[in-house]
Amino acid sequence: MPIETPVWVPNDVVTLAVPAFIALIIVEMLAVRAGGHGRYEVKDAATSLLMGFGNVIAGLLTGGIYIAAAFFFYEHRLFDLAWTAPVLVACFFAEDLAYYWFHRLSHERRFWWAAHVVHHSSQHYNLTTALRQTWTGAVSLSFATKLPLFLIGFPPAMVFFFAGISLVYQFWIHTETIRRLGPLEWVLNTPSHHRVHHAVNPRYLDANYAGVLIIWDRLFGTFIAEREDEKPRYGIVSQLGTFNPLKIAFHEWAGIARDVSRAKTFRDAIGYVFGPPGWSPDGSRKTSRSIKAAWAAQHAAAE
Amino acid sequence: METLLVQAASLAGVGLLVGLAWAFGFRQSSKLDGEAAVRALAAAEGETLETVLVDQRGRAALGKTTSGALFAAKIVGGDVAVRIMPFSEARLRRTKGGVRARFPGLAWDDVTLVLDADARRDWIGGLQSES
Repeated sequence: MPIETPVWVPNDVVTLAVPAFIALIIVEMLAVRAGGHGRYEVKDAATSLLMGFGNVIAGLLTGGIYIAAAFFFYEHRLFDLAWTAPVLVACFFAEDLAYYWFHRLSHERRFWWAAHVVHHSSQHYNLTTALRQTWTGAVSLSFATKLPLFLIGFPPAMVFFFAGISLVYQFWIHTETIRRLGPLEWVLNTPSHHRVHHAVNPRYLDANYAGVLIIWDRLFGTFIAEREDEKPRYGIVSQLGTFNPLKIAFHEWAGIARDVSRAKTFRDAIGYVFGPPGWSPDGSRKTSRSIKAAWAAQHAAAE
Repeated sequence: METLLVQAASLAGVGLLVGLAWAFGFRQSSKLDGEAAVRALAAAEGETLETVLVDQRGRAALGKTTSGALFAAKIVGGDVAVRIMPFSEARLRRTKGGVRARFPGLAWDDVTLVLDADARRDWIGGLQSES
């Protein structure tokens, strides 16, 4: 029997936060208008906001897959964990760690990148970028790294609550308006750390996957600090040439389908689907690793 | 019903923010400022261009790299996106006023270049032989 929730937990933290999202976007627009750091462009912002709206609709249509999987695993849980303070703290850390691995996987394997690329497809970095979200997250099973939490015995409502808190937290860090936050930079994912994550500069590629706590990147060796002498350039390695939301949502999936249909061997097909983004049998395409290696070699030669 | 209302309110929020972005003047559009700017974009990708065609409005450009690939650049809002691919992957065709390029996949919309007579001659001599 599931353990009953002894405290009131909002069903959907993100929906409750939407008015605050709108208010903060207006504040950031005003700050940029007044000459603060950051950039806005109306077509880009409209696209990001529509992708966010589409993400909510997609969640209504396909989110049941995640919920069903969560309850299936919870039915087979190893422990009965109650809504106590130590369990809540443990769940927060466990959810944030699971997020780190979900996020890392979403960058390092093309199948999950196909869903996540949407979030990185803007060349801008402002609060609307935070809302530029995938429409195919649930169908690509990107929640897989969270399933062990239910198997351990964390109640689904508790995990969903902290996942919502994490998403709401990550909204405000998508800004150039805030520069650095002093000692908080050591522990928390901040606007500075997340700017690096969204950057396409070779130095900054594949870094800072954190949700709330940057400690995971520091622990697993994926942390890179923002440098004053290298301003992040945002987007993806091959920048999109469209504002069409449908094309943005599905372009990488179409790319996978195209590559798989042309694959000469089964191994190649698997590589195109589950290899790193940019993988090709002959190595002729650019991956993050090859871009970083070329940059490092160039950098070393220059020194 | 409640879900519908929430979604309607969200859509209204989207409309409000887009309207404000427009009203605040965030409507800047970038421009490809001549051949030199396009060559600089290619250089940033480690490529050198043999032939360059720039749209008269500065919205897009096509080129042929020294390694024989097609180089495309286009304005995306206030930014520029570039792409390098084999000529065989793109479909180039002449239009009344210039050239239209269609790219594989969904990542790029078609690109239309408005060209003057001289540039169209360059197109005939340069890019068309590859497509």
